[in-house]
Amino acid sequence: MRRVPRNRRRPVQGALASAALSLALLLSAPARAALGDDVSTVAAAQARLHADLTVSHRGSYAIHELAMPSGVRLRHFVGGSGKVFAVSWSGGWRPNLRDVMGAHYDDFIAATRGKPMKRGVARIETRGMVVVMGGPQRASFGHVYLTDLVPQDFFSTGNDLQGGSP
Amino acid sequence: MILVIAGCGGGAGSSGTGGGAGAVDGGGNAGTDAGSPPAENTVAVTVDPGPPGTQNVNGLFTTVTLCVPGTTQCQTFDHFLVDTGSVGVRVLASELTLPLPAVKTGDGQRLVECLPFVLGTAWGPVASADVKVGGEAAMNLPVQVVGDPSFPVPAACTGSPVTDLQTLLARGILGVGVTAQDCGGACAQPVTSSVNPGLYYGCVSAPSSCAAVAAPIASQVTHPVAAFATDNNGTIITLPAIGAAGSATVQGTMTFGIGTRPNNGLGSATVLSLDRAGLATTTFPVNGKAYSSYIDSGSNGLYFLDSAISGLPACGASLDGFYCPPAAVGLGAVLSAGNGAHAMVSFSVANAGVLSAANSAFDDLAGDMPGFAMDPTSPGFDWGMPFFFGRSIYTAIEARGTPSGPYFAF
Repeated sequence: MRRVPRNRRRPVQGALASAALSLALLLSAPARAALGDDVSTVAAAQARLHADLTVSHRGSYAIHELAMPSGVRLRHFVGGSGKVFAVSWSGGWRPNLRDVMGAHYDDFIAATRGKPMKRGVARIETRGMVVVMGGPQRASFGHVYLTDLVPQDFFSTGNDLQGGSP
Repeated sequence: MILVIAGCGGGAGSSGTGGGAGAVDGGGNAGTDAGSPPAENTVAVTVDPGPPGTQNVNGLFTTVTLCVPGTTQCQTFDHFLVDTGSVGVRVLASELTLPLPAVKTGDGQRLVECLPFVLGTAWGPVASADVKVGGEAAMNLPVQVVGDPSFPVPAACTGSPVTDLQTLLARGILGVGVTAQDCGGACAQPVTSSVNPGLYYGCVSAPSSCAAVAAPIASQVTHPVAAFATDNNGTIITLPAIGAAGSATVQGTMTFGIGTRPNNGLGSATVLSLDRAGLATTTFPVNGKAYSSYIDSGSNGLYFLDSAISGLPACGASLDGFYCPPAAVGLGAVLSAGNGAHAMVSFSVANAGVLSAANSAFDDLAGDMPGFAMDPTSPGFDWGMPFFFGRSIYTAIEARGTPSGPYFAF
């Protein structure tokens, strides 16, 4: 590391440190296709999960569905910006919630830590994310979406969170 | 002001009562007669506010005794949640004082489980215990010790940690669902297999690290009734009917075994066989549309559909998620299953806003199925505790009995 005058060392160290941290995060970040991620991460998730991918279009958004060998279906809703604004799941054990909520997972934990366990079904909203979960353990269902990214036509009737006709 | 008759047993894990305490609210005649000894294949269950400091609504509880296997070193717990929606015995580490032997993996690591419950997660090691409920016992049973701080939660085990009385609202869970273990064959597959859901981990302690493992069936957290010597094919939960305003506490009975003794025959109950996911079908209204559905004593309300379909207005504000019709509404539905059976169900939905906070048991507390409005293919009905009042609900374990489980019957 090159020598720098004492009074400028801290900002240089800070910039290098944050660049190194960003790079490390980029290299170590799992292929998740979580809320807020770019649609390009869905294909990487497909490979990791050994899933079948089908893409359909509805209104202003696209639905990228991963069908897992275990029976779990994971659906990623992608808007015009190319970002995943919602993720839904059904058909098996509850998925890895970091994979689903991405950077918003910590908000979910902050909102629920220490609170009495929900019994049966649950819907919470925290810091721009809505979380819904329920179902028997082996047939769990749920969805999460970002309120500032979700398009208006997502809420129209005939919405297709899990596929099939309503 | 209603006098709340809570279960005895303050303090961590201290002994609880075997049966209900004296007065019975609700006026039913189900449950053990205070004058005669209870049948060996039964145990008293209660709906009450729960352990001191908790405030349960429609929490169904019973007393469970755990022992170090093969010894008389035992601990009796009141207020274990009776849950037909999960399988296995789980006890809070903060309540347990027994040195239960560890269940280990083939490599000598500690077997630890990560089990999801709606938003929450029960993380903790698997241990062996003799489990006694009523007059029955399961010996050397794998149970989960929840919230043991010796094992930091690995990153892959997500969900809001359930760690203590404040988050669990009970001293433990008695899961009496329809499978013989909580996971089964899928968790016994190699970890690299895409069908293994990764619920079980092998952990070493210094430094602490955990990795997902294949857990042999015999090591998995097991349905306690399935491991009884007899009366081991299912359970019957019998609760009296209660009034529309609810009850402070309700006394009932859980009976072990279906069709194994004179006291546990199916009688005229309708058997609803369940699909692989544990689901049956509800048609609502009676001549209306069909929705996948499930019965679950671990759900504290009757959660179904949405305001548009049910015609019931939402409460809003602090009762978000519940229904608030101006006056109680009587409704009908038909429960049916793949075996062709069907049963008509009449149920009532009260204005949740007028139900008294002095009561803990309600047969008419209902709300919407969250997310159903946006996802019409998800389950439409969760028949929770309100459905259990005034009924005997049979829960039959897979591949056991005649007819064979898995089924619910009532």
